[in-house]
Amino acid sequence: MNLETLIPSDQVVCVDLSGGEGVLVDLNSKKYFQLNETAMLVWRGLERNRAPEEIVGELTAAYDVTPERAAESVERLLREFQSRKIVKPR
Amino acid sequence: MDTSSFPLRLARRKHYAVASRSLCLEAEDEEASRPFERIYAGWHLHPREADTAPEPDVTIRVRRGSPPPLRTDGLESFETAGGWLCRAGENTYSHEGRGFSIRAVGEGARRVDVWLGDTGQQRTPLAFARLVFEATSAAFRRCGLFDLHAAACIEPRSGACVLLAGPSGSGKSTLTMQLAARGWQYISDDSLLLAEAGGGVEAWGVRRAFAVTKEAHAAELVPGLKDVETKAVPFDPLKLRFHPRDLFPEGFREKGAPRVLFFASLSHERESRCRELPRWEAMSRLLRMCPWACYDRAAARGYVAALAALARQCVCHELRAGTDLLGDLDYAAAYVSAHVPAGAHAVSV
Repeated sequence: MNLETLIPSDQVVCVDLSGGEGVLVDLNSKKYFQLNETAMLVWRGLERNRAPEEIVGELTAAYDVTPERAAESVERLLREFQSRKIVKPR
Repeated sequence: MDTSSFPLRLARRKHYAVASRSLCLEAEDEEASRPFERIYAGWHLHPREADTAPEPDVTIRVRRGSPPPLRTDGLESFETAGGWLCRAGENTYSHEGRGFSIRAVGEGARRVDVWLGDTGQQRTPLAFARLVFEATSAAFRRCGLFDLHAAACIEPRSGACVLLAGPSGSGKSTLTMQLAARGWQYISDDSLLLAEAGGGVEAWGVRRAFAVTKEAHAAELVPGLKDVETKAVPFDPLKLRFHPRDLFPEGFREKGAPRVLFFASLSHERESRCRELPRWEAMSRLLRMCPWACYDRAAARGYVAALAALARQCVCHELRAGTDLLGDLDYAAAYVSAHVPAGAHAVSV
């Protein structure tokens, strides 16, 4: 994985809904995003200043998933967050 | 020079209790205070004696003249209804229209300043009503009270608090009135304040009066409606307002913990339709209904959290109300009751 450590933008609000799902509200763009359980785990990791590799570790500890697939998912999500400008470099 | 830092010559100070908060209204003189006091008399804001009032959670300060210049760098600006201009940033909220200015500036601001501006402007009762509503809503948001355009009542069997959310004309008042006529307690027919309570959210009523369409009044949709005293609604010529205690003397309840949330609209079909919404869709609808949850940045985190708590603790439905819900009080009450899930009950908040 070739991603620097990212942290959430100050202008994003994340709230839990239920069953591990949540919503991100971007106060800059006024857009909001539905996050599934995995995406919420990744987002909460960013909030705790976790590096991508650490988040992959949390994912494999919590779910029955190989490190390779978990790394793919985390990378895809982080790139998605970057493209939406809702994260920034630490 | 920032004249807002000068001490204000205060001629009038009023204290109010609202939804477990304390609000202080300070004004240069009685005339500046009067539009607020007059409108507050129609809301569930309870006057408190100055010597017994607690330290205010938020203060609204009303003065004459124009506000000091505002540093607009870094602020986003956008127009709101009626041509008002809002500028907002992390710690700044400014809203202006008709020569009125409303501001809350500074990190964690617990004060909303209002300038009445140029008296040459055309100042209709509607313009004053808008000023008071916008300034007070901004003040409420700064002490953790968040608007929701919804009615609320209490299902008698379970004690569950049921909300009917939707824009004007979506049937909230009509349905609330019918449910109240069947013994449901009511909190409001139109406007609520959401407040965090023990990890969940509770809903408090704002406006005392109910507003019904002239059509519903003429048809006497609930018994006794034609006999109660009504007044015109200044900003809605199709509606009349009345005091619900005249019709349902024992029915008022000041707050409830919502368990069921309907997003209501009138379908004009014969049969009503209802479908349960996933929480994400309910949250999405709540965000669209409550633009200040995104636009008033200083209050956004609390507002979004309150809406999420509401979506979590409620079973949410889309209700397309048909003509079958109008006029048949028993059917309307049974229909809404049928969507209160078994096990839903009043939650102590």
